[in-house]
Amino acid sequence: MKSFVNVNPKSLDEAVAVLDRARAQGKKAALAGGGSDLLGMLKDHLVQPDLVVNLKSISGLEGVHREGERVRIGALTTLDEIARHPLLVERYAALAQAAGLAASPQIRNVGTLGGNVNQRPWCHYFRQGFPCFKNGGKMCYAVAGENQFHALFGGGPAFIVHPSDTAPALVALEAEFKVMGPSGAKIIPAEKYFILPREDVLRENVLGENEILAEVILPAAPSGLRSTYLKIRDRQAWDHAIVSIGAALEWEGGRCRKARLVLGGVAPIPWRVPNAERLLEGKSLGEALARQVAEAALAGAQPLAKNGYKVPLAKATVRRAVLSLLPAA
Amino acid sequence: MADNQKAVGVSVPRIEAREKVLGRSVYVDDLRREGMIWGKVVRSPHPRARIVHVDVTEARGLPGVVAVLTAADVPGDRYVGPLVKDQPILCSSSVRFEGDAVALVAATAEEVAETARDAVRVEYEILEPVLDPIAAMSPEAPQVQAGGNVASYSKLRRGDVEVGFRAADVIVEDSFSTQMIDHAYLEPEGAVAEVDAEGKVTIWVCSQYPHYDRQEVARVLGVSLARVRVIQTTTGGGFGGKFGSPLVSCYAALLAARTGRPAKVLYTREESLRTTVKRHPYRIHYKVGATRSGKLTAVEARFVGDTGAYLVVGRAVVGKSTSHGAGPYEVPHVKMDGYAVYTNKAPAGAMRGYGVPQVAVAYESLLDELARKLNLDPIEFRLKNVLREGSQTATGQTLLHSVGVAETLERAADARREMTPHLKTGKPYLKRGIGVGVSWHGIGAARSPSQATAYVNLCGDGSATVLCGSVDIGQGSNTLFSQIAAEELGVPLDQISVVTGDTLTTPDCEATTATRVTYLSGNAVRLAAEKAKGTALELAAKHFGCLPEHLILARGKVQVPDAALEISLTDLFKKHAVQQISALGVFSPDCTPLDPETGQGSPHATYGFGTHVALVEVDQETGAVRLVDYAAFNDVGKAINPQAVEGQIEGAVAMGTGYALSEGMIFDRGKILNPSFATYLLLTAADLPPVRVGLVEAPEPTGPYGAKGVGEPSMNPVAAAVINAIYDAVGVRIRELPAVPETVFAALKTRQPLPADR
Ligand SMILES: Cc1cc2nc3c(=O)[nH]c(=O)nc-3n(C[C@H](O)[C@H](O)[C@H](O)COP(=O)(O)OP(=O)(O)OC[C@H]3O[C@@H](n4cnc5c(N)ncnc54)[C@H](O)[C@@H]3O)c2cc1C
Repeated sequence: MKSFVNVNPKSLDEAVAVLDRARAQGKKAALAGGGSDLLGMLKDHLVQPDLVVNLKSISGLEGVHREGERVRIGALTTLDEIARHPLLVERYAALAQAAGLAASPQIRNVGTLGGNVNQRPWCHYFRQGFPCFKNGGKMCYAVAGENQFHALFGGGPAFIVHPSDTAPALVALEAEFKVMGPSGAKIIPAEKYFILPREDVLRENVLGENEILAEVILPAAPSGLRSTYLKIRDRQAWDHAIVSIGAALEWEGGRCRKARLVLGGVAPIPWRVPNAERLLEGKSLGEALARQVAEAALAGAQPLAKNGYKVPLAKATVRRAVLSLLPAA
Repeated sequence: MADNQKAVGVSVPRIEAREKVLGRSVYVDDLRREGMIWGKVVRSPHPRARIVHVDVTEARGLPGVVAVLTAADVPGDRYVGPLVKDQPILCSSSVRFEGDAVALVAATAEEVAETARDAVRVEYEILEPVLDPIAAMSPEAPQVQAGGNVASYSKLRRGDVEVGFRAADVIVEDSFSTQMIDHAYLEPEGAVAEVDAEGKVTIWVCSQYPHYDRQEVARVLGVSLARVRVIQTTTGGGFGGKFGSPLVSCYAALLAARTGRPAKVLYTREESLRTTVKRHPYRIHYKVGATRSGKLTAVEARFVGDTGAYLVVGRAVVGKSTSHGAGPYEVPHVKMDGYAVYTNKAPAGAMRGYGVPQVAVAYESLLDELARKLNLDPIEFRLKNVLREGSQTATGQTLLHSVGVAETLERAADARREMTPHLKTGKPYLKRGIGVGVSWHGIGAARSPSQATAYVNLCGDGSATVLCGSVDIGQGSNTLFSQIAAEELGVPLDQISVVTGDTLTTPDCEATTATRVTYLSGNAVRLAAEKAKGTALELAAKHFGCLPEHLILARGKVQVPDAALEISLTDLFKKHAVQQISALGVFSPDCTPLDPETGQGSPHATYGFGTHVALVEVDQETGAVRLVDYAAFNDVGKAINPQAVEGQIEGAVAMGTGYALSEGMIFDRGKILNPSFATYLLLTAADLPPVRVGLVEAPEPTGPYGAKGVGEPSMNPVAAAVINAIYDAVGVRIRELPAVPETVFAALKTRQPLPADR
């Protein structure tokens, strides 16, 4: 592991200034939340920063805060706190469940929300340092290789899947991300935060080199909102989703007023399926409709040689998720 | 122990438990020596290549670098290996797997050594790797090793399978494949070496066989055995992986010898997963026949074990598959053909089960198929065929004693009955099923002669020291030795001190492998203690004027129970001018080697048996399999430390379920893609139910107190039980391990309709 300078900024502004200065000097800087992903990346020589900016030295970046009907979650809030927070468990179940299903108890104790949505892909080729697109190279080894965990949607030129469990939940819940940069704060809808490889193959989101995710804002939970996060994985801890879904349905008089269905593990970004959402809207839900929704959600999937099994798996997940959100009788 | 209190057969805590729990045990990683340097290995990024040129100039010039060695710098033999010396400790002309070692660097700090490692420039001519073991067997395939890719061929011929299949009313036949897995012990490989003023080398290493490490280090350094001392450090697991590849000891020794400074080489997890020995992946074809009444008539099998770039113990592993391939059943006609084949992959070596888990999956799957075709209950069917006292095994060995397999099956039937009410899930897509797996394992290596040796030194106060070469790698053998000595000498456990794992002070007992330590070394310790006691009793008999057999040794005193007389050992020793009584115990199991043409013989003195029962839940829509309940019955002869035996079985179930459901090295054109615990999927506590352990004790008359062993017999049936449970749940036969969702899902797609919906 290459040696680096650790910086402990006292405020977000100072942290941004450090990033900005590093950029001007041609130095590489990396942000550390809990460090649970970054440390592995450093050890594997996948990032070799000159400085590491330790966000934990900034006070006020953690915790779940009510602000009127909205909820603000600091980027440094641990996944464990999110998973257990009574307000989130009650009103924004998809997020609490997603956080609780991420990684392992140990990682959830140190891993932060900011780190979780900004973690880098877990593609074997990328993590093994193959000279792939994500590592600055010129090919995606998964295309002709071991692609059982790769993208069904939105792939190309890289076929990674977004690894975060909280991201699909946040998109489903219409969260907003507060980003701090040299010219102050800006608010970006979660859905607009994540970008496809064809927009920029080296990154998974819009965050600039001198920007920091400061906070995640959840909008007021409308009446009749029910949400959930379901995840399929090869083992029950310490494993990313093979497929997952963040689902948020709003009910009114037994009918679905609005639906947000966001798949995880199937695309380089949290993958919204608007056609499937529209099928639900205005209707009351039964087994038959749930099946149609699942079919619609996976319509247009483009499996690679070894990941076709994910299609039926994702359909089952979609169907179960929506059925589990039937309004309380 | 107190007069009526026994040391054997009682659950006692491990003698090292406290040290471990308090974090005081010393592992290789904890060792620091004055002036110590750090070694790192330069490894090939290609599975097969010719080395064109190695340029070490830049690495050598880095500040802090004290040595950069290539093959030419090895003073003695350059090749190691327990059966065949085919593995270069540093490659000079070609590399045979991704991770093969090309050069060795050392520096004053670990980071500097890493930089130097990366600064060694190796020019390769990349060659097409040989990856598929079946293709590798073709004479046209590129040769991984000069002698050809077929490294070994082992046969078994019993009766005439043609006759056997003609006598069969039902025949089933199928192919299976199993994956490459890693031992995944918590502690990766590492060693520290130091050269003293006389030029003698001492090595501290986590190892299953320090005496073997000594042999290889002495050969590689070109010095005599007596000038090398190997000390085993607390070893964080072995499972076969820390036997048979003493490279890390050689690297540390080479650096220390070259520089005169203590040297440490510690593998990273990635290095351990990528480059050290693995379990052989197998390609298997089986054919089994039975009569309508449910008697097995014939088993025919052919299997190919992929031994990777080097043989290590591949020949013996495949040989064990051959001798165990008919299962613990009476089968009149058996034909087995087993091959170990070289490919350009990480070498496969010893791993818990040693060729048996692979074939157990195949034959136990087919026994279930037969039972179904014959409309017989799978347990009843097996009970009609299992070995019993007096039965002959497929190698023609008559088993006279300690054949507890039928009892494990009977107890399994009870467990299955208890599980049956839990088959309902309440969800249409979740199906549950119960599967049974039966297996066996010969105790000790399949050859003759094999020997274990121990010394017991009995002191005047009744306490004693045990010296034995068999090392404890976390399985609890040191505690077991102390129990045996305490039992024989009539003292509490804390009066026994056990010394193992130092080639200077302990005899070579061969490796801690092959489920051999309890049976072989336990016997040696018992014999030595018995002899020491015998000598003391003889002295006392002279003193009292009676016969030694009328005397008892307990708590440092010899008593004449009938006459209420006693004398302390202290007084007795003083009287006879004895300082301590030293006794040697040697035990050699009674075996005859297998005939190379027919595979007939008595390769093991005794066998461990087990029947395991798994209750799984299969999600028919996702292919996900969850283990819901598990019961394991193993015939261990005698559980000397029942708690330790239970621990072995629980661990085996975790390991075996990972083998069945999730673990596996993923390769892309010969490169391992998942050399990390984040991506190599070991199961976790969240994936495993509590294991119900049932001990069966069919005593082995030649074992210490009847004991046999449990390390491998507990591993072998697990995957078979899980795979059979999947069939019972959803009616699909998994032929390819691991049964990850995509494999199960693919199988579900081709499924015939289930007979009856539960
Ligand atoms: C073995 C393993 C299994 C895992 N399984 C899962 C899983 O199943 N599901 C899942 O969702 N995750 C999983 N993870 C990822 C884990 O949840 C993350 O490691 C964790 O959430 C990251 O949090 P952190 O605060 O430690 O991140 P860090 O390591 O500190 O950061 C991760 C990345 O985000 C960047 N970053 C951190 N904070 C900010 C910020 N405020 N603004 C901008 N960039 C930032 C860092 O620069 C870095 O690139 C797994 C990780 C491991 C190691």
